[in-house]
Amino acid sequence: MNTLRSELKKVKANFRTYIGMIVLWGLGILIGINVWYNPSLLPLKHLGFRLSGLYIPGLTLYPLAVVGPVVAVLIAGESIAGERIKGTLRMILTRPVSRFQIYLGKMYLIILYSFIIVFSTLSITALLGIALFGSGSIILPVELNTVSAGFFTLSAKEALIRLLLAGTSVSIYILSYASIAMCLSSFMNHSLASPIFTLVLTAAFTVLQNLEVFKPISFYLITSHLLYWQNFLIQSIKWKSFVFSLLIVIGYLIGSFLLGTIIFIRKDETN
Amino acid sequence: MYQAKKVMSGVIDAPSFYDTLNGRENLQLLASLSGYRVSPQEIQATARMVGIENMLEKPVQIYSNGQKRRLSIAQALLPRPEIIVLDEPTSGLDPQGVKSIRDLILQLNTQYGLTVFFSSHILNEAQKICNRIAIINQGKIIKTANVNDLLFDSFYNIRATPVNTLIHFLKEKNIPYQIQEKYVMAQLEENQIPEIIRELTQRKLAVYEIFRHQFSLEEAFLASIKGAET
Repeated sequence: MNTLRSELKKVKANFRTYIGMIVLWGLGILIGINVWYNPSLLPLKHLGFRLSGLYIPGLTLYPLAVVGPVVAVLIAGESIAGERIKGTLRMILTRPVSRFQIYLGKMYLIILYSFIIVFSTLSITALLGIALFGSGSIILPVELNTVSAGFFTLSAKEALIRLLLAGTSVSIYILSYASIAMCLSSFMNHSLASPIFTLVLTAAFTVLQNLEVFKPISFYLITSHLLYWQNFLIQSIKWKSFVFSLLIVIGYLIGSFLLGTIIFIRKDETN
Repeated sequence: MYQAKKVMSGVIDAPSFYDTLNGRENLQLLASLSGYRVSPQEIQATARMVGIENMLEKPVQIYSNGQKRRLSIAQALLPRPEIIVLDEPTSGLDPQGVKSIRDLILQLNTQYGLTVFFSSHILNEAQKICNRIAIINQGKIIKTANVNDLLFDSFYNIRATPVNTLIHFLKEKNIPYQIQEKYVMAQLEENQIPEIIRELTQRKLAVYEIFRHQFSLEEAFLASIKGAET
């Protein structure tokens, strides 16, 4: 906990910590305003249905899953390599704290940061949505904008629970990317090298998953699981595919954490 | 290793701090990493001890090299260690900065009773600060001695005439010697000196001076390295 406390002190004083958060909040607010000005974006609005404001944070989950990893990767990628370049890493290594604890402290921070950027954005957009549209149940057609196939209804309470579940899933997804960036940061000597490499890796995975020859392994690529939570607010949850996807994402998270820890413990830090 | 780190603190050769934090916050952060909750009074007292109490609330990015060096010594002192290890603490400092850090190190030892391990390539500085010196060659300690023993090894300068008679006498007694300008430097034990003087006088030599030869630390260092390699 000492290492987490010291990490918090460092990031609190760094303005870059807040930039990504402000961008995500801004995106969420813009999405809410956009729906307010374009009611046609709301399913069944033209048929006179009143929609719950809880649907708005649901709409921000996608931008969170796309922009969130970039924001978190920038913070995580700098966490070790940045300190290595500045020379502060050697300073903290003189303290009576193990390298594993140092790495774990940085990981705790990334966990906290991933959840904070997701849930603060969801909270802001939920408040905005409730202010604009009220807080009733979510009622959606099973098929978009047609009523003939029936309706999918979520009570406000259930919508909130599903929103929490989706938010947690997106946080874990973001966290996995951050963990990969931190793993790369554990041996790189430039603070931007790790974020750039992580984003290049993401782009490469996205291309690979669409190539026919890589179809058999595409399920194991993290980029294939970007939207595994996407239907939480508009359909019944497909638990089996959700759990499998979550396990893959957690696999990346734990794998990169273990690899990063081993590299960080073994790396000789010279000046 | 961690047990050792708990009783000792270190200052690395090029100390770096978190530029966005001020001196006090940096000290708090590094102390909390050691598991110490330091009070504002403790920080103030330590800062006063190293002479940066007026800089504590200012961001580290405006600190001079010397002030950063003092801050790094303060962070090492805060956990109240028994031993402090300083790695090249004066490198990159101007002569005034070097002197002030040197005085601070001596003060830590004499006034606060702290054991200071100090590594340096600047032998003149080590000579001025240290009581005891270990010479390291290729990662191994090849000699450990009190500074005085190292600087005043068992060599005595003798000035006597005629020199040839003196040399003949030393050869006769199997006493190792070297000729250094107007002196003959002989390897003797202190208790041999009265007898040597008596014998030289009996042989009608005019003895002008006998005094202990003072090596510079550099000479002692080079001699130790040479000795280790042969």
